[in-house]
Amino acid sequence: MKTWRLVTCLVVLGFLLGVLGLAAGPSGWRSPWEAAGDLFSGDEVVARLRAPRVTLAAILGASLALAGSLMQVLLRNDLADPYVLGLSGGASLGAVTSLALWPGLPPGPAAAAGAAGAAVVVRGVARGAHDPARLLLAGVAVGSLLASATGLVLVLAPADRVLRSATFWLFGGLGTPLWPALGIPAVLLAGCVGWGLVRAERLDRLTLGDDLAAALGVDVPGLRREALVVAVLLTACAVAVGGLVGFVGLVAPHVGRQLAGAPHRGLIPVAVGIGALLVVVADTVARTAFAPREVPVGLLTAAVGGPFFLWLLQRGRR
Amino acid sequence: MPCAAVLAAAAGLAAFAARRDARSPAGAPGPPRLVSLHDVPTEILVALGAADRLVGVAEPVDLPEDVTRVLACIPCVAGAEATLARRPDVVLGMGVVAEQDPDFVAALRREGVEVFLPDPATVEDLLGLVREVAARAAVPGHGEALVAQVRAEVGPEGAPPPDPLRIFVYDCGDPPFTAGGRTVLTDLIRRAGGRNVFEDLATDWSHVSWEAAIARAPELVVIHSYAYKGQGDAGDKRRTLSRFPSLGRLPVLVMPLRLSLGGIGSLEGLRRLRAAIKEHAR
Repeated sequence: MKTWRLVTCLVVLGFLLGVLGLAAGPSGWRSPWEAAGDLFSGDEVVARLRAPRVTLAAILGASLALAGSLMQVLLRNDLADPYVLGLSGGASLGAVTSLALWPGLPPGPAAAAGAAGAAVVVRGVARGAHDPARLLLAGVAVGSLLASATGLVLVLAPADRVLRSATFWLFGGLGTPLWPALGIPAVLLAGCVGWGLVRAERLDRLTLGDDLAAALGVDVPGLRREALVVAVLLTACAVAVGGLVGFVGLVAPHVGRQLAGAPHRGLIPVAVGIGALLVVVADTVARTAFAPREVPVGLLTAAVGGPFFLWLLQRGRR
Repeated sequence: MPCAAVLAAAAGLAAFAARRDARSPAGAPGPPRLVSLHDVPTEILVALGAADRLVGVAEPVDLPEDVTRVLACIPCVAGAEATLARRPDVVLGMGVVAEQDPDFVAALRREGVEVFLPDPATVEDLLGLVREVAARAAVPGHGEALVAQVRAEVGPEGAPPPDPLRIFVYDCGDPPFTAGGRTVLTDLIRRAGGRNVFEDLATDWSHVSWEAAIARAPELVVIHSYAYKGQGDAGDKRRTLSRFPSLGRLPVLVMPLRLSLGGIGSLEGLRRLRAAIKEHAR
């Protein structure tokens, strides 16, 4: 019951923040009614620029929140985030290589391939997804290697154009998405949330430890494998459409646990909602606070989410 | 061992002193030895007829063929060691050199080399830059002649037209990277009879949002072209613009990078801007 109340609150809040995201922009404020009218009349600014951007921010935040939740279970580590298994290194290398070699193309697909490739390498080095400590250490090692390769590409790149584009992307530049580009991330997110809710009880048992989970009838290697694939797919898709947006995947699951408790049936929808709201708010600030300039949303996710997280921690301590 | 160390140190000091002596400080006989780390001063030196002062150049990025022909026999330099090995009296560049590698610039200054890194933001700054470079090349007369020639081509800065053509400069990227108010390109646009829609940005170059660009209703797009060295061409940028109906249907002027960075190429840039603004004037 508590979960449904929370989810309802998040949906209402999400709607209000979504309307705010449509009404506010670097070219000025429109009333919510005007923005709604412009959305349905196909206005270039609201329907083609603001609406897909707000939708992408929500999908991206939700994807990272779910991926972070799964990584924290898989690695039994509260500091785990979606990028911890070398995924950020792989994504960065893919993106800067793409920007250096094919500057006319968006770096997203190469970044997604890089993230997925890094995950495959980490899993191979760790010999499967069974031992969390081994997986984590392999992730750190592969991530460092890929980060140095990224630096090398940036240093050797032909000119500062690559640096400029890469810098924006590395801090989470959502860019200007077109509606069709949002189809795959949305469908993937929906499928993964569905998978998480179906597997919620087994994920709860996995948090008790592998032996106890196995004793309670969980196919531990199978569940670990599935969770890893889901987390990597979500993260790769998120970096493909929005670059590296930090903090969300780390903090949204923690906030979700504070609000909804540890059981995944409640945690997953609440964490997903928190992640979506966090990125929508950060993106609205990124688009408007320094207008007409635009700053990468990744620079603001921590600034927006950090104080809220600290407040929650203080409240929990009392 | 201590003796050997003292001898080695003495030998090092002697070599250092010899190297410093080999420079030609101001007032000493012989032409000054110059290293240029940027296309803009390199092109100015060639225009001044002082290319023989160059003892090293950074690899040219986007220079016209007649200039690169002159530079063919001058060694390319990169980094402090290679630059100092050319024993320059003065190292010329642009502000971007210090932005990209402040340690390198500090190392040159520690060695007593004068480093001149201007950041021209207007055509007047460009004229000042020509004079400064000419003075360092010890050809001030040539500098004044070139300044007079540039001033004649640019013409006097008249009163701006009442409703100048609004121009959006698209350099690259998503969100777009564009020219702010403190760029030579914005001054060129103004002198050509137009107005950069982001001239109110109190910076040189900056990322802005597509929404802000559309809201400022530009009438002409200047695409900054990086067509050299496979860095993508104007075609990619036209495709990006075509995603936004109100920008995609605008006329486009493609400007190679070297025509707007603040060097002698700015004259050609101004000519192209004048022609485009005349063609698309309301």
